[in-house]
Order: sequence, then structure tokens, then C-alpha cells
Amino acid sequence: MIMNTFLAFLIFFLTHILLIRRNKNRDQYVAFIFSSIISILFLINFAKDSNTEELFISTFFLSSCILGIFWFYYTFPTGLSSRLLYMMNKKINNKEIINKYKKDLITSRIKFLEKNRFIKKKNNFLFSLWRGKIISKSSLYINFVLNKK
Amino acid sequence: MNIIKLIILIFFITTLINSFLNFFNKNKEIKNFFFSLIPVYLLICIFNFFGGSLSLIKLNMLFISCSIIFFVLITNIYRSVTLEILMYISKKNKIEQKKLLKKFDVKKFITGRINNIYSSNIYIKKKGLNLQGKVLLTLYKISKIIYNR
Repeated sequence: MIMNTFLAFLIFFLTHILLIRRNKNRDQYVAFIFSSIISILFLINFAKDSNTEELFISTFFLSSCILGIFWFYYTFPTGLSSRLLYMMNKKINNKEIINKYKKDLITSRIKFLEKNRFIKKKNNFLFSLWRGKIISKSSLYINFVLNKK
Repeated sequence: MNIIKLIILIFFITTLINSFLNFFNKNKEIKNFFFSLIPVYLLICIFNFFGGSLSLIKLNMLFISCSIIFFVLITNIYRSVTLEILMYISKKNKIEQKKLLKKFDVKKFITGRINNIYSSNIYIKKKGLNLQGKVLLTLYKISKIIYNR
């Protein structure tokens, strides 16, 4: 059961790396969703003999591992804090860091949100769409857990 | 015990213990999360012993899956730049892009992040990176190689 899940996870890992590495400008969500579907299909194929309970737990475990990789991708190679840490370690001045990000830090994030349909732009105004609303509502739960206002 | 009930139970207990720890031990979210794992694991073992019939492997797989999901939630939704922007737009429902850019002043944003790095002692001004910082930086370098960025 665990071996099947790990095999399916390995397939996901290799597929999504291959897709992202081949074309940097490729839509990353598409790469993640495509490789997730492939890995889940492989898992179902591997676990032909197992019962529903085992299949459910394996799929749940695989999904959480995929989510972990998703987190890793958006935290380390594309995250801001890790890049700042790298620059600080290289002894780059705070002013230089700010100048580097001054132009496009926020605008690039807005473009990303717009491209992935979390927000909509109309007449220079930004609107939140249902996807964005769901994610922002979940912040209430996290704020409660972390005791933040 | 039904698996879905067990998953809900794990999330419920983790939420309770985490919010309790964060209430008394502020600004140590990640440490509190790891501390909360031990009582959660013990509690679900007890619940499974009395009301469920899951084997230890299945129970561990469920527990690890839920922990990963919870970890991703608390680390990503709370601190990501993109999500912070998304939450602000969702809160306001409709906002002009210029106003948003004014609100998210890059200089303040980056100095805030740098101060966070200093205050969490990941990077100490005279000494450089501590062990946690070194691990994070290594992960960043590995991720850059993996994703060809």
C-alpha cells in the first residue's frame, strides 16, 4: 500500500519537474494538475487489488504529498523570503535588494492572480473572483488558529 | 470508526491544541505546530483504540497527511505575498490598482520581511546564518537546481 503510493508520488515528482523545467513560462498550475492526475491514475492502476478503504487512504496520502511539493515550489524557488535570505547571505545591501524588487514585486503578483483567475481587472479596478474569495475566507480559520488579528 | 470522521477529528484536535498553544506562546507558530503533533497523535491513537479498527500503518498515513495539509495551510496562507494581496482585494471587494500599489509599498514590505528574518534569528548580523537558516538556504539552492531557475 505504501509502496504503491510512493511509486505514484515518484511519477508525479518526475512528471512535474520535467514539465516545469522544459518550459519556464509554462502555466505552472497546468503542470501541477496534469502530473497530479497522471499520478492518481497510476495509483488506481497499482492498487487494483486493494479495497476502497485502502485506496481512499492511499489517495489522501498522495494528495497531501502533492500539496507538500506544491508548498515547496511556491516557498523556495519562487518565494520572496527565501530569495531575501539568499541575498542577505551574499551580503547584498538592503537598498540594493529594495531597488531590485521596487518595479515589479507587486505588479507581477497581480498579473499572476489575474492570469490564474483569482481576480479580475476591469477599467483599472480589481475585483476578487470566487476562487480568490474561497482562499481569503480560509484566512479567517488560519488567523483563529494562529491567534492573529 | 469512519475514516472521514477520523480526518475531521484530527483537524479539530489540531486546531484546538494549536490555537491553545498560540494563545500562550505567541509568534512561535511553527514550533507550536510541531509541539501540537505529539498530543494529537496520542489522542487519535486512543480514539482509534476505543472506536476504530484502523491498523497502525493506515492511522499513521492519515495522521501524516493531515499534518502536511495543516502545515501547508498555516505557512502559506498566513505569510505569502501573493495571498496577502489577494486577501486585501477580497476584503475590499473592488479596489483601484493605483491604490493597491500605494498600500503595498515595496520598501516597507521588504524591510518588514528582512526584519522578520532578523527577529527570528535565522540570520544574525555579526555571525551570519544559524542552523535553521543554513537548512533553508540549502533547500533554496537545491530547489533552484531542480526547477532550473
